[in-house]
Amino acid sequence: MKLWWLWRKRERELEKEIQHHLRMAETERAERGASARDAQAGARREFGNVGLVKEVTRDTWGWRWLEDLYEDTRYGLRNLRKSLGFTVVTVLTLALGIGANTAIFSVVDAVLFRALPYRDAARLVWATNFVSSQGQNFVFTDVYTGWRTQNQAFENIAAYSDPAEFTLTGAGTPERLRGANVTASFLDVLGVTPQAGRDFLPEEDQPAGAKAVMLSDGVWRSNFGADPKVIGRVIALDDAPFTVVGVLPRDFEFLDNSPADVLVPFQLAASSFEVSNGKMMGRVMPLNIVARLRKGATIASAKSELNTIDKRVAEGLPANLRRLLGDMTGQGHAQVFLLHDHEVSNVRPALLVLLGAVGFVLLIACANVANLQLARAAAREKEVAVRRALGAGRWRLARLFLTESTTMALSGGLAGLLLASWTIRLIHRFAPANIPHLQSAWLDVRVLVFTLVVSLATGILFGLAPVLTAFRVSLSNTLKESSPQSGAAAGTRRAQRALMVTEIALSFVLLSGAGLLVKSFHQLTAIEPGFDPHGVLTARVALPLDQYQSLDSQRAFFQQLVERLQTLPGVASAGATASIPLRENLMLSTIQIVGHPPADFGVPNVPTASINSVTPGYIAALRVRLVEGRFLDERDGANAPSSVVVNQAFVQRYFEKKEDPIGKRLIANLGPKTGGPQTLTIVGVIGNTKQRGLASDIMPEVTASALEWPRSWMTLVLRTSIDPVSLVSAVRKQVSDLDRNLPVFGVQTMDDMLSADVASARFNAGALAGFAGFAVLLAAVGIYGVMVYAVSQRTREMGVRLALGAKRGDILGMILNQGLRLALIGVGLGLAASFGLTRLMSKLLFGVKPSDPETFVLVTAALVAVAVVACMVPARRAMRVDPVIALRYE
Amino acid sequence: MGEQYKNRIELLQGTLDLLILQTLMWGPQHGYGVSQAIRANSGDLLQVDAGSLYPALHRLEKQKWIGADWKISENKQEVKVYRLTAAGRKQLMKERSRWEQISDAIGGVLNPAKKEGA
Repeated sequence: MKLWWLWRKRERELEKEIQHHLRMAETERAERGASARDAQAGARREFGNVGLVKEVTRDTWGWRWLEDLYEDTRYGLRNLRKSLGFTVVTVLTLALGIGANTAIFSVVDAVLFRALPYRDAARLVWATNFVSSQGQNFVFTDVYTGWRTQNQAFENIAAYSDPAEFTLTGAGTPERLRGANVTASFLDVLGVTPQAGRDFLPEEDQPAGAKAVMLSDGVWRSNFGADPKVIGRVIALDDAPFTVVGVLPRDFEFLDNSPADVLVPFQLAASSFEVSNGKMMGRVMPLNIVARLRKGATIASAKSELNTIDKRVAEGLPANLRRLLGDMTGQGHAQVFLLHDHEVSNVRPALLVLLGAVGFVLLIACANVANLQLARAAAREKEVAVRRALGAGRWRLARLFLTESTTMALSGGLAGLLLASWTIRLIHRFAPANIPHLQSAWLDVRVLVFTLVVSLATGILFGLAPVLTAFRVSLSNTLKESSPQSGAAAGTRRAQRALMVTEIALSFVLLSGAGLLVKSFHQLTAIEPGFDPHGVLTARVALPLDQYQSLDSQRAFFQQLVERLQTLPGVASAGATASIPLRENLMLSTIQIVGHPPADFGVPNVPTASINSVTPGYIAALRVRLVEGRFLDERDGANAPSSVVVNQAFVQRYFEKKEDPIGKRLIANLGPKTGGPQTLTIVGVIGNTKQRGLASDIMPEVTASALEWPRSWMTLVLRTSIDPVSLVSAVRKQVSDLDRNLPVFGVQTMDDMLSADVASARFNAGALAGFAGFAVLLAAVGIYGVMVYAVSQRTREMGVRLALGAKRGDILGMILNQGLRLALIGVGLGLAASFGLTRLMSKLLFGVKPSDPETFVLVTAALVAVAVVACMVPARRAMRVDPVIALRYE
Repeated sequence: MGEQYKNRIELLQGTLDLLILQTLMWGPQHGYGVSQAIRANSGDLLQVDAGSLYPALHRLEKQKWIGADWKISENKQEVKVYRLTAAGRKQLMKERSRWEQISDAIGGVLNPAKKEGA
């Protein structure tokens, strides 16, 4: 701005100086006796071209480039104003392209590119053992102990539990808090210091250590009024006293995209195995390990070290366990990832695919705008020729065009920012909950720089097309001929066709990617969950073990609660279950079927089953199918012989085909406080339900009666004849009538749960389908533009043909033929590219191969149809050409 | 017109700078004054056109060999008056000696005998 002001000032001064010169010369001539008119004319003549003198003088200021830029911009803007429609279309197209890129980049940047919010986060790693026989990662206490005491690679190492929940009582209404158990080293590994109080002490994570708790900033503010004296206060979590030792920093984020209202010490024993009577019905707790690499240590060195330690740990265990552990800890099983990679591993493929997709959209937008520019450049050919003839250099012309295009691109970028800010809000609202750090995605400086760079690059990219054709303008031909069929026209047509083919090919790739994702989503939603989700309300209740120590008290509570719920108006049937389908809160047990050969714990695939416990109303509430025998009922109470039902997957896995499972007995561990393994009789077989989500495999399951084997944590399931949500307060009242201190949490309809289960797939499919739709729209506009231009170029030819007796149908066919040929080339290229590119998204697909022929055929058909429609309008126009007018047409 | 141009001499690159600096040796002067002085002192032989004069003045100003001040003339006009700076004085000396060398050299080439004789 200051520069501009300075420039204006010098400009004024120069003007004054020159005027003074002229006046002096004039005065002198007048003094020598010339008439006033002669004096003025003479002075002017002697001085020469004032404008030129000014310009060459200004050149010495060294600001030439600035002045040119100003001139070019002014000229460009004038030009753009002159063709307003063209400008608006261009800027809008670019705004959509750049806006989409900005929005997705802001997300990708926040999630994938930015460092995690921990000190020196590049040295943080996540470590585990991959257990091939279980097909999953698994670290248990003995391994962690080995890693902790024997490693050289880490500065520090910590273990944390899967997300846990606690009931906070004694501070207002009872509330359910989310959190995790962490070892005392946890915050140190991350490099986080509490904002108040202290970190956990090493003795606090020992098995009998003091019960300490660390509050999050949010809980500290909302439940404790940001009381600075909260440190040292004793609060009740699950009715046990915990001493508040610290408050986490305000910006603290827990790992694995899970919120942590409270952290409590992970009081781990050195070993997780207890062997009683020579039998191992092991209950081993899965641990998550995070560590900070020592300076100079690498992931590879850490990995090989952990493998060595694994071997040593296995050797230190009793022989009968070693074979099992040998499988778990064998050489090459240790995995070490950068913490950042681990955190984003589940969303990285989707985000990169989306980033690629918006990149394609922008390329198509560029191609489209370049096409428009070409058509306009053709119209401006004369102007270019005149400018060249008047001495404008090629580079000056190139600069002129590029200034014009970057001006448009920057305007598009600005409008794109507005669009992006809306889009990011939409993403915040509709994105699935499993994207970590998404909340920090916003239009910050990095994103703004990205947008600026993309806009400039875009401007140059689509501005180059007319520049290159302008270079080819032949002066004499263009100026002499009045025909539009001049030198550059052929080049323009070639360039336009190439752009059209490119657009179709890019659209094909996007459309096939979107098609595959949509198909995946449909495959996913078409899966039978094994129950009827409509009109089902679920809510969770967890009994504090201090008050409900005995199974009797737990049993009594849930029996009463279910009976009360059953009588609520609008409730068709009510039940309670330990684990609800789609949620991964499974308890597993090794099992032994009586009469089958005893299980050998050394072999992989030790027979295991998921253990559930339900009240009789469960089957009616969820409408799970009863396949054979009977379901559990009121008879299966505390004093009855233990009866269970199993699911079909269990029968398939553990029984021979001709074997009847009804009446067979099995041994399994039904949970803590059940006094060890029990012998159970199978009385029925129920249909499979998807325990861990629609996409996951079904596990063999043993379902016991909660009237006999209750759990302290149960999920209430209510089938309702009215809107399930309207029952929430009634359910809360029934629970608090029984126990005032019990919170009801996790209230959700089964429909919502199902919809959350497919949220990622829906989001990916929706987003990509949106981008692809936009791309196809752009491509259609592009094809239309090219064909309109082609037809206008050939109007005279059409006239001649018609005059010579061609049928109108022939003309139509000719134009369609031309358009379709180009479309098919584009489709062919797109097909080839898709075969290569869709493989990159195989991780996002479900039940569909990346080269799904059905999808490709559909996409081909769709694009050809779009091309036909886009060609039809100009073709019909060509058909209706009046030969008389056409022959006069120039 | 034609006659007038025939008699004019195209100035060598850098020569105009020398002439301007030399003119300003006599005292501060505005642009028109500089052109008139060069013309008068060359016996109307050297006519500096405005298209060369003003770029040269502005260039010399940028190089800090001449300075410029805005003054009010007798007829109440704002006038840009150029003056020689200390650096310009030094530059003038350098240019002058270079010019003399060149002119000697050219003279020598054009009249070799004379030179030998002298």
